[in-house]
Amino acid sequence: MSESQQLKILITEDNIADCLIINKLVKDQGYRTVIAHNGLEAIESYKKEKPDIILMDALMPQMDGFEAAKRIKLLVGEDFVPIIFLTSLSDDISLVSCLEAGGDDFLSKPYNSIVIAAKINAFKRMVVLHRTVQEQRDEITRRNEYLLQEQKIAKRVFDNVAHLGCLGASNIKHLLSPMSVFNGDVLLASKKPSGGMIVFLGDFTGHGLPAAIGAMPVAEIFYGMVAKGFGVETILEEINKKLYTILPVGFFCCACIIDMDYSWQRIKLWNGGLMDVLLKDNKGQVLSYPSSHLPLGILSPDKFSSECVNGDMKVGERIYLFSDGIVDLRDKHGNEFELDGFAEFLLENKKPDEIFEHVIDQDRLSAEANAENNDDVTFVEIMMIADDVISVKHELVENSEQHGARDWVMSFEMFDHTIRDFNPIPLMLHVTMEVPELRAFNNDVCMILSELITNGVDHGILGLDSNLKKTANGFQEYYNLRNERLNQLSGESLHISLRHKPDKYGGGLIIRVVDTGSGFDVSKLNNEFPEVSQLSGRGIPLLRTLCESVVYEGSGNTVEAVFRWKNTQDDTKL
Amino acid sequence: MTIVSHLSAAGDVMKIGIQGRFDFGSHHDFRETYDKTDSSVKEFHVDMAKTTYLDSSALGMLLLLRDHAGSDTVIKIIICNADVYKIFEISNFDQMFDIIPAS
Amino acid sequence: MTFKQLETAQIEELELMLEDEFPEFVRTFISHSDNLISLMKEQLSVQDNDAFIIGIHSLKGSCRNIGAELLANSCLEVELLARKESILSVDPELSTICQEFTELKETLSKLARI
Repeated sequence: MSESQQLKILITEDNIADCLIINKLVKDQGYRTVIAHNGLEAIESYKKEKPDIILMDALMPQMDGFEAAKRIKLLVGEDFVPIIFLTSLSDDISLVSCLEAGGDDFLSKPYNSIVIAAKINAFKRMVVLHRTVQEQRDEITRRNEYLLQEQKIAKRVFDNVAHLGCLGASNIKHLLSPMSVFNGDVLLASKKPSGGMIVFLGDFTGHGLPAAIGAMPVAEIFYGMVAKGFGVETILEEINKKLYTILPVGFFCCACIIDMDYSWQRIKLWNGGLMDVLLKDNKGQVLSYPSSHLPLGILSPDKFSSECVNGDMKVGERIYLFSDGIVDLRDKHGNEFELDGFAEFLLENKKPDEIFEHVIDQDRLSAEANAENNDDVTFVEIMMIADDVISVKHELVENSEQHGARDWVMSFEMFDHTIRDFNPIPLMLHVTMEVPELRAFNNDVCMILSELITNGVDHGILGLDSNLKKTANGFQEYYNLRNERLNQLSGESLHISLRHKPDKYGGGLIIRVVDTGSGFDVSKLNNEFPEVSQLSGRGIPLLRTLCESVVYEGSGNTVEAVFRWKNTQDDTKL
Repeated sequence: MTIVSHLSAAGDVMKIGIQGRFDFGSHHDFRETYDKTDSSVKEFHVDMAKTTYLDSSALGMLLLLRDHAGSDTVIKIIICNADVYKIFEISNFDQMFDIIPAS
Repeated sequence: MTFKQLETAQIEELELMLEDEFPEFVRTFISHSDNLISLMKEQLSVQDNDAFIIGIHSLKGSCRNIGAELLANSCLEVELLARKESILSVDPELSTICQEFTELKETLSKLARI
């Protein structure tokens, strides 16, 4: 009803003279009028004309005002159409009947034009208010629906980016229970080219779309860098840098990243702002890795620390990560599921396979009991497994059918501080992976390069003795010494060259590494794998397993390794 | 939730007290306490002795205060409630603010 | 307490409000009230209590509206009688009411110059 469109008032009055009076009074105030002479006529009039306000005589033939008012109120439903009774009834009981019948007010005879004007005016304001509120409510509902639809579509895009990776691997169990269409939690997992896996759990501040939108660049960086062979420290630095740039001040991401090394049965972990990460070992002990850093996105790159904690994790041991929603979970009695409680539960529990299911039940119970107060819950269990080895037999495919980098040489030389600061492996993998057939051997090439470069640096240039690594203390000493010597480099260099030579059904990758160290007695080389309990010495025997040949030249500071392969039908990666 | 603020006579220390829940709804009031201050304020004392609850958006608001005040200004946060203290601990906010446990 | 036949203030206000339509209004009032009275006499004769009460109530109301206090109160007395006792107690000829109405008709017609 617009301002220019005046109120329409239904006048129900059986006395014709009275009707004339009230009609004139109301029209004089600028309103439109509709007339009815009894209750039945009033109901029909209402249906047809949909008046905004009704003036209703109480006593009428055919159907009185009370009955008509009751029926009309039913027709009105959730709209607001005030009914003012016109009456010369004076006793309280009758007046109460008016109100009980659904009347909103009454006017007594004789009619007073001032009183009538005031009452109609007051109700007019209420009618307008009521309509405005209804319209706004409907508008809000419409827009909300629209937003929800948009979110659903956005979620599909989000899922395509954030949920690639190996969350389906057999050693990971996870629970992601979002409160809204979008979750502030992001869970990423990816296999490393050199074997093993990196898992990232992030909990962005807030809920819904703003929280989830930060997850997309994080997912891109994570998967991209893991696939290229970057280490967790570098990945963290990149993610923090990105979030620091794009998130507004006051928004951040509590996160934990875990690098799982299946071959060495070790983990490397960084926890910034998440609840304690718990590890249950094979002896039944529970170790905790608490948050020791600020969440991601807060510190500028120069202040950010990607320092990780190292730990052992044997096959069969399990590690548990949570987002903070987990502490809001309640069981069906409304008791809180506390973190300390969970640690205790882990300690007492003798059936490791059931732990995860127990938490799922808690989550389900909590959702049923307490829908409003639940937060997003993410809960992950990762188990350490032995090396994942996949052997596949494929038909040989002729080289002439393949495209890409197929016959090339690349060399790279690093000096002094670059040796300390720069990891050339991602760069080299980037190039080798341009050879389509080599992509299936990402793992192997990475390991070979890694071993050769480490040997060249550690033993060649730095002159470190791997015998130091025979004991746990020795390990620490070794790395301390390594850092010390890396900082003192002067006039040293490491030269790496890669040559790809294709043949009919495959090819060879020839890797030469030359270091400026003093070399060693090649005849003393350990070519056999050491005892299982020995902490080091697996390097060269491993190389010999993977490569067709490994030859040390000269005084031992030059090594040439050849990796040969046959083309396989399916060389799609990951 | 009530937020009160008091600037010292010399104009160099701003005290902000937060009573009750410190959450998303506190955003406007909290911001108003420091928005108009300038570099003459050398220290902020955020008194959370009577704060009963804190969530991540509150942590975000403290970061906004840190951003406004600049890295040279001292921001002290006085905490009493164990749950509140735990949140600061997990998020390692003691690296950015001086956290003082109240007795 | 005596009531005036026609409350001047009230009828003058009506006249002011209705302007040119005042004579038409007076005619309507007179003819409608006439009808009502005839109807009421019928209802009395067949002893239709409910319908009678609606009628006398209506006449009373419209009398109040024009300021015809005397007639309005006579109607009120009859209405109360009919409600509390029964229409059997009511004068079937409605003599008082008819008498006062006739006088009122005259006054109104003069006022409206019809």
